[in-house]
Amino acid sequence: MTNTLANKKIFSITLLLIIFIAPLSARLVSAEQSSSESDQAQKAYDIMAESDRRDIGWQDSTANMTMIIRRADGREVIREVTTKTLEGENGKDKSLLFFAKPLDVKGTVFLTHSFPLEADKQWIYLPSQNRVKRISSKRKTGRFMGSEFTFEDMAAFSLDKNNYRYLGETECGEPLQACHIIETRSKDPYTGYEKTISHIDKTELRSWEIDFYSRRTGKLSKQLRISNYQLYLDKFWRPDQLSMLNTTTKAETILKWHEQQFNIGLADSEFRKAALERRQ
Amino acid sequence: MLKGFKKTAKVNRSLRLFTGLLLCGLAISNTHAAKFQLEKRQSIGLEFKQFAHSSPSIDHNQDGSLIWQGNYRLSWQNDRGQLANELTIAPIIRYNSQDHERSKVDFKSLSWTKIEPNWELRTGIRTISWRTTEAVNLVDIINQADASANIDDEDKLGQAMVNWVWLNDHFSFELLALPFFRERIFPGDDARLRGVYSIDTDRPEYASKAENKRLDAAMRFVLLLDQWEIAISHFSGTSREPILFLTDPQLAELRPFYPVIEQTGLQIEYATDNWLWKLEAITRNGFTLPSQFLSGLPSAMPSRYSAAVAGFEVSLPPLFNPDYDYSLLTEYLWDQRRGEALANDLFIGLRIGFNDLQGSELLLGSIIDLDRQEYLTFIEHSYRNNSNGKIDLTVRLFDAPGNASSRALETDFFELHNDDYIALSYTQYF
Repeated sequence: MTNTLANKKIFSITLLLIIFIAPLSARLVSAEQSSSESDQAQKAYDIMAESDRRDIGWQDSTANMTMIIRRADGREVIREVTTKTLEGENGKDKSLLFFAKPLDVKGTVFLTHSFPLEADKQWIYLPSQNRVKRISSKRKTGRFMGSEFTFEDMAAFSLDKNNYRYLGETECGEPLQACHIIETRSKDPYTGYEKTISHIDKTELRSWEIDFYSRRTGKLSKQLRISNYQLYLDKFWRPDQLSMLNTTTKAETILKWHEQQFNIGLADSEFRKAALERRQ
Repeated sequence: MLKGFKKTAKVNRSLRLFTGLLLCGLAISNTHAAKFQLEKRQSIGLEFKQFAHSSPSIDHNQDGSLIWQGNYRLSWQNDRGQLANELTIAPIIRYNSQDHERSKVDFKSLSWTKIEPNWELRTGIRTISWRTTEAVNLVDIINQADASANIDDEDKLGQAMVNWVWLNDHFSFELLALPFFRERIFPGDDARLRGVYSIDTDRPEYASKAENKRLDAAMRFVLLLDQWEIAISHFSGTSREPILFLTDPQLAELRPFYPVIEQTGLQIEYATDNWLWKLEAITRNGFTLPSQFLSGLPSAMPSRYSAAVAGFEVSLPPLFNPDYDYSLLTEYLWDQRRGEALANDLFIGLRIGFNDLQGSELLLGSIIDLDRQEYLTFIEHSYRNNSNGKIDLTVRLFDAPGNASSRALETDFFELHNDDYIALSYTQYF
């Protein structure tokens, strides 16, 4: 009992200090801090911009993706999807997802036209209804195919959709190497995250770990571990495996990529709504 | 059964012709092609229906169906490694325990498509849908409906066609030549959900002298503009929807008459944030019954009429569970012919995606006749029970006040007021 009370007292003193003293000291250092703040923001932005720049020029890609969606009690479902992506200027990528498993959704095709700032355009072809349907820009926080990934997590990266801050250095990756710690805050009012914190290696600028903080609670909600990076076309590093752990529910989704190919020569016409209609 | 086989034989003749056409097409297409790809999808389903009430004229309250469906797509590339040809075969076989009209062997697709960057030629039997709204689809006219399969006319019969499409990223323009008209399939005399009158499908009447051999035509222009999609279409030919006329009031029997119509359609879809706004409208000319079938009664059918449906679909913020996706659907249905079914009706629906491992979905909806206070309420629930099997549960309730003698022909759902049912189906995919 006494212990708890004592703790409470200490706690309340700390609280007092924070409430009354902190703003004073903050005001004292604010001028100096704001310049270093903007330096840190610029440094982080430059790293992300460089990472983004290094990912230009792959033209198009195809790959097979296996998604293992596992609940904390061990129940799981395995999804298999073939993807085709067409690189566009300024993040205007186009992508196709062809569902192969589970078999009841086989034949479903998902077409996305991404835009750097405006809402993406999405259509779905449902074989059961033999219909191509427009999808209104979904809730960003909605689950992607019932997994721990949200639509926001799966959206194409767009440099200027976020603010960045440089938090420091650490070690990360396989093998362990020097890494940047960068905080990302989305400018999108519909984002599901307060912030994400990424560990990015210094030499190749690959992300190895990303922690997601919920906008609702402000707390850590998900952890993404990225591994098995491969080099394609001597230039582009792509991971073979991503695993997203929900730290609250302990549910996990493992995303594995197979047979990634780049610069194949996919035609723009494959990414039209009409190409989905042809399936009718 | 015999009646069914006769029809199958008729279909077979046209199939042979089209198979011939397809083979010719294949022969002239790129022969030194590389990289073939075969996609296949097959399922077998068992459906059981239980009706809530017994019917005055039909002696069974249950009904079972077995359905096998296949979809095989062979595609191959041209020299540049681009998708250039597709061959699609999609057969369907259905057996119904109570009604031979519901039993069938058919092709949803048996077609060959030649693909070029800015045009496509799609030849053969295909099932295409021009659908924007949810409650009804007025513009969608290419394929005949199989009204025996489902009361919502969403089951279509394959239609023979030559379809040429000119397209780019912003628009598409297509022309369709449609030979071999197919009659609508109605529930048989001893089937539930058929209404009060039986329909004599063996003696259809046509406005065209060529009867079911008239070559119909259609065109469609689609414009894609940012968040807008606008489609204008025109159909000229034998109406897929027949006018059912009474041959003899004593017989309580209807015969289908297929007029030749001109139908212009407009579809608009606009997407903004979480909203999808939808409109379908048609104006139709020639949908009238000639005087020899009127049995001396005055015709109440205007030579031209219009109909429309408009509404929205909106993604709702999470109400009870942040993992669920909720969409609200609302549509208003209007028909210039006020006496018609669905002339002043409201559709309201709620769709819930549970985002669980079973991919569970729930759709609750109601179509309300604002003139007569009648309702059609439905519940559709589906989920996966393992990686290859799916369970669908459907409930339909028809609520119509009134009595048979005075109202049968002038209400939306009265004819079906005894046919409330629950259907359970299991589909295995392989």
